Amino acid sequence: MTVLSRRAATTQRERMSRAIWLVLLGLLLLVLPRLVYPVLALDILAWGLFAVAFDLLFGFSGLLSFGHAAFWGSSAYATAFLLSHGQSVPVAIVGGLLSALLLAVPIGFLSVRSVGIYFSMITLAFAQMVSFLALQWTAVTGGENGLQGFARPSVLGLDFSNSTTRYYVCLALFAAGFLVAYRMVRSPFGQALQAIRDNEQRAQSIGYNPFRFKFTAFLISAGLAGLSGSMYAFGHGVVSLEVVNWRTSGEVVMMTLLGGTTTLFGPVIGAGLVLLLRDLLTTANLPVGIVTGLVFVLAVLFFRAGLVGTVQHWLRRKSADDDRH
Amino acid sequence: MTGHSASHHSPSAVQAGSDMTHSAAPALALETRQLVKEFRGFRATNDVSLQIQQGEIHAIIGPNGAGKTTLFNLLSGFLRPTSGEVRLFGERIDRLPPHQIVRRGLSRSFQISSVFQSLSVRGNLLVALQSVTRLPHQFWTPLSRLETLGAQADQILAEVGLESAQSRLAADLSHGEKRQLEIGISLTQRPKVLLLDEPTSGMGSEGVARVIGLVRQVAQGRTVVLVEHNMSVVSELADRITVLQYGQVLTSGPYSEIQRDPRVIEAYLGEEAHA
Repeated sequence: MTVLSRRAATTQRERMSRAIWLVLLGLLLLVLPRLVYPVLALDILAWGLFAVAFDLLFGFSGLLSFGHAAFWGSSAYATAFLLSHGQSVPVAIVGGLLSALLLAVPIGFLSVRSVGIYFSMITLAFAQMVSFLALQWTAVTGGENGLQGFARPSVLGLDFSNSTTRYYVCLALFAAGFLVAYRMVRSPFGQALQAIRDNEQRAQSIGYNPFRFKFTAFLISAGLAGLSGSMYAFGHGVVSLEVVNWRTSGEVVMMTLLGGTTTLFGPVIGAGLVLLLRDLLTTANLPVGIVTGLVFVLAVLFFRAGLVGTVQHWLRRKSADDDRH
Repeated sequence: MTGHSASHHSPSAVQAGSDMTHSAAPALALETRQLVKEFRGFRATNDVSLQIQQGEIHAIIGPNGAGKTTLFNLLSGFLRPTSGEVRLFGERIDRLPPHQIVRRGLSRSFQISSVFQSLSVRGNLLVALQSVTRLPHQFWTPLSRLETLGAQADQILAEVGLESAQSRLAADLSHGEKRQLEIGISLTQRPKVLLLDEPTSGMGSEGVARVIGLVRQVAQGRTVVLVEHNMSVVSELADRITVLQYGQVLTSGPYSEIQRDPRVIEAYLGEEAHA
């Protein structure tokens, strides 16, 4: 077999496997409200997209943000605020997304110049400021009470008081957000980003300005985190201080690692598993924190590439073996 | 930082401003003037004035800690000099960031193989080739568009002898192949001046021979500056050699001259002879 045809065969096989993953994920999400109760399904969608947004930054840019709750939370508050002030659902969702983007401009500008633990610490510090603001600015956030009971006036005859309807609206938003992430990592921009992640000096020496690329990736990630935050507010119907808490930032890290970084599908699966597990444990009256923590530790020890990452490695090795025979 | 002219043969170059002021015959590709780099009072580069002619292969040698890598970092913009100048074809580049210096025609390789581990060999070259285009700023464009650069990538693959490895992950390459890819990545920038930091480090004699051939080949129509420890490589490749010691230029000249210089034997070659 010539090198060229082998290259074509490899790309084709990768394309096939990606298509299969996409179809499986799509089918699963389409039937999800029949498998679990709709509000849980809604949470899975929102957290799933949140984890995808986090993976864009951590997996593809090598930046471990420990403050992504700032974008998720500010967007959730903005959406809930707009809804409780009589705005329509589309306006509230777009408003949430924009508020996250706006917040990401100064935070990203100041943080992406640093790397490693410094980046994590700066993002955490900003997220704590946002969290403090949310606690103090009761006129907008409702303080300790949070925002709830806001109206979700119907649009185009869609009745948003029905949680299944909300689910499918959110599924459309999820698909749009996922598509953005998916196209981005498979674009020339995504390649440049990965090159910078792999070796920043080398990337600079071939003419890339790392700051520019990391900053753009930060904005896209924050924008998607914002979209997922507004999905959460719209779907869940309650926004409390929990959305800007540092635990939220930590949770999205855990979901992404559990599912597998740089896979995009993995974070969605990871988010789903964590939420299902938590739901199961709460209903069974078991200690949620201890069990999810244990699962996380086991996953990090034995499936370092995450669940989806491990399966992908296994499939790739198997197909490489098949090639040899 | 003006007002004094060193023993350079173009005093007109020391005029106000930093524009192109080239006068006499031998065109300089790369030049440093009284270059100094201090780290907390320690002078890693001490008053280095280098003149590298267009088209030559110029080797920089010296014992460990002589400041070779620091000099390379100053030339390529990864470090800013404390004082002094770096000029590329007469234009000052010592205040520019690395990604702008490469656009002016100077490309470098690294001592430790610096490739993009998670991309394929071909992907490494494509991502390097696309950096001069508008493509990297398009996040809604599919990767297949990169194939417009495919022919260029294939040409470089052939040039560095990595055609059969093109679809392998860069992380899976052997040490020697990484060095080849590393040079290939530098070539994507169509450099007029190529800086190679120890291109043969960690290689067996076979690999060294291959790299010597490769360097000679890529030096066609280019200026090459290399840091190298292996004296047989230096003697075979270099038109001229600069010897550094304690951050200073000890001497500069062709190999035959350098070889006989007692100070060089003392500082560097002697060390080799003892070993």
